[in-house]
Amino acid sequence: MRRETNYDEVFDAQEQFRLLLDCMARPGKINVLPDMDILPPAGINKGGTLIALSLFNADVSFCSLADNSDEITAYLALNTGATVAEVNTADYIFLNGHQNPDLIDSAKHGNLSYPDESATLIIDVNKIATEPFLNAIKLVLKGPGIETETVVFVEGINPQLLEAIKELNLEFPLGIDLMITDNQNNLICIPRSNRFVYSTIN
Amino acid sequence: MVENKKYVNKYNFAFIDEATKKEIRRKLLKAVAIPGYQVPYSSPEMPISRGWGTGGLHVTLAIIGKADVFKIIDQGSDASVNACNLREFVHMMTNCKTTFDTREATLIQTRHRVTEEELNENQIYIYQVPQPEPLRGVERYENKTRQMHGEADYAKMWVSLYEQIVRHGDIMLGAGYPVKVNDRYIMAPSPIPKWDCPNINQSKALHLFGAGREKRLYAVPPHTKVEPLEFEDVQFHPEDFSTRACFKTGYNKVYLDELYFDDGTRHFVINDSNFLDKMVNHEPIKQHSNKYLSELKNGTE
Repeated sequence: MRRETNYDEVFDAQEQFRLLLDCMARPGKINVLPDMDILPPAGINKGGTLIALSLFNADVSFCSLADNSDEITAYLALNTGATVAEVNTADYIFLNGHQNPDLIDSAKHGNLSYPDESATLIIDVNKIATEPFLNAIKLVLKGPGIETETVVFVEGINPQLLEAIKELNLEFPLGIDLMITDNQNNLICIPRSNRFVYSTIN
Repeated sequence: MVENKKYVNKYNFAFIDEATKKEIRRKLLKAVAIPGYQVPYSSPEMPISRGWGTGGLHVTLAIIGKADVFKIIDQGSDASVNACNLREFVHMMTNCKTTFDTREATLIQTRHRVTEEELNENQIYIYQVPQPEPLRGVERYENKTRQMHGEADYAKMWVSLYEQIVRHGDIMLGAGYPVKVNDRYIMAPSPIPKWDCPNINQSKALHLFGAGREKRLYAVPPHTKVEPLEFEDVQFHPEDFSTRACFKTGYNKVYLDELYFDDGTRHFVINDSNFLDKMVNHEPIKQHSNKYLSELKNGTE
């Protein structure tokens, strides 16, 4: 397990936060996180790790549901100082796109007075692109941040997981926000304010 | 003697410590995800008093990077005292390039105006907000206003607007006219004049609001519906400058300031200083477009 001493807490964190902010403000827009010299354990993308490194400190809690969760949890706790929590209290939840949607049923989705007290999902997928490709799921997004609609293609996400997310986000302003990264460091965000429909491409 | 290398720089980049910056950043992401909703945040101590632009400054300093070009205006002017002081502070703490040119800037912090020049998708527009709660005038308790926002129960607000029309014949809110964001939250757009409200609607830029004294952050993403509150029969209208014009340029499809000269004569001048400069120098300017502006005719034509 490596201590990520190459990561610059001031400028790297700022740069990656700005990409996140841009993605969150323009849902479905693909930004590329820098390919940094970091060595996360198997089961988590570099992109997802960079999100954690740029946003986490001792004030947040997180939970990893990925297959290799013990190692991932230890790695993130070591490098960010964030506390480890159960899925129903975690501020950030890491999972893999192919995983069972039942896992996130109990994720925090805020209350009407404080809808911001909700979880953010950081999902690992295989590939994100603006052009269609084989086995991709086509996501059509609509809502604040988008002029008409945005189309983005994602491979390696379970349709049932998308369905579960839709259900959690039915009652705006309650809901959860998504950050999706692939293994080429592409990043998209889908805030709860957006509505999406999906279809499979064969 | 051991040389002190750890504290070569007296201050952290952008003044605020990294833990607090991260907190503000996380809250900003939530604010963007829930347009118009006020996210509570820590509002750390700054070298200026709360209520003097600390909220805007927190947002600016939490998001600014080395490559940013920073512009700050106070009531439309780059040269106002609040703008000058904060510009100097941000420059000292980040060494970022600063500018007066609206088009060149990537971060624009403002007190009480939206620039007349159209914003683009690479810009982030940051407001200093004194009172983030639009319902405070009708409900004094925070837990009640939170509940009202949560339930989208805005009846008291509508009644208050109705009463103003009954008493005075019009809605007597000049600055900080309440707007509805994304058909959900009623939001205080900070004390910008009514003139500026339609320019936040479907804007290309991201708008971030920071209220330091009240410890709240909120946001309007680009391409988001922002509607001033209005009734079917009594509609929203911006300030009327149809009978006046800027004495320097003759233009009046902009927000005007009133000036009194030493001889007692009254003049009007374009409030946005960079817009005025560009007009006087005949530089190309792309103004905001909105339905109220397009109905206006230039009085000097």
